[in-house]
Amino acid sequence: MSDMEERIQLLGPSFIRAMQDVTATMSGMTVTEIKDCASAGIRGEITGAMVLVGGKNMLASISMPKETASLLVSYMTGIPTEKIIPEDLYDGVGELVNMVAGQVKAFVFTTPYRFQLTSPFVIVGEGYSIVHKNQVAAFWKCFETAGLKLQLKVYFM
Amino acid sequence: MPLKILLVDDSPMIHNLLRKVLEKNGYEICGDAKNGKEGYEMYQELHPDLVFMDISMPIMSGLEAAAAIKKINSDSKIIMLSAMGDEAVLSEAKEIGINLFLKKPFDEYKIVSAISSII
Repeated sequence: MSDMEERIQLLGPSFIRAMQDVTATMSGMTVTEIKDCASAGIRGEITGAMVLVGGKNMLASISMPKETASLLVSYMTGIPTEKIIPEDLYDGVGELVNMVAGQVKAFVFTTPYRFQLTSPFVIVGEGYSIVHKNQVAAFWKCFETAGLKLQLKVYFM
Repeated sequence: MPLKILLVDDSPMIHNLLRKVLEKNGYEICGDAKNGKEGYEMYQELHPDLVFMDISMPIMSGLEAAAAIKKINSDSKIIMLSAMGDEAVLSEAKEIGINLFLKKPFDEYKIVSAISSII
């Protein structure tokens, strides 16, 4: 098994667990995995991302439509969705990826695959894709909660 | 008299989340700061009973602000918030005299338990 394959084998389940733990703890919502990501058709209107700096650098991103972001932030803060301002939405998605990546970092801290994290950043727009030259996602998982969807991607850089 | 709490974090979402939980449990939010420098200045002005302080913030980090607060009041009660929890950071926080480290994500139970354990 290659080093990259070993990393994915360890990090993949860690990211899924972190995603589910963080959303459940912060919002009380349960996210369940969607098995077929390719046909899930998730619109990435808000993306929170961080770079994982270690033996192999990676970019981790969580993308979702605005409705999903609004619902998550509303549940986390108690603010009704119609009163959430765009800046709070972007901050919420940034915090979400920060906490997910932070938890994965803790999970793998005692392994050779430990990493440091950059600050989170958020990409906002409609109809965009994050394209990595000559790369496919090392890890791509989709989730659903209350009928809304979001996706997690990890790329080697 | 309800406990007076100062919130110091650059994330509006964390402020909103903490405010929701703390006010529901009868605590008073006496101030909101967006970075360590503001937090330090507000501490001197408001004299809170407790500070919730994020670690990674612009202008002045949480650890720098906490160290400055501890210098003027060694009995100050500070709960540090972080999504990461590096060993090096934990060690530095302990040396400064931080009362408790609360790792994100946290829910209502963890927040209230954290306060009960140090007040």
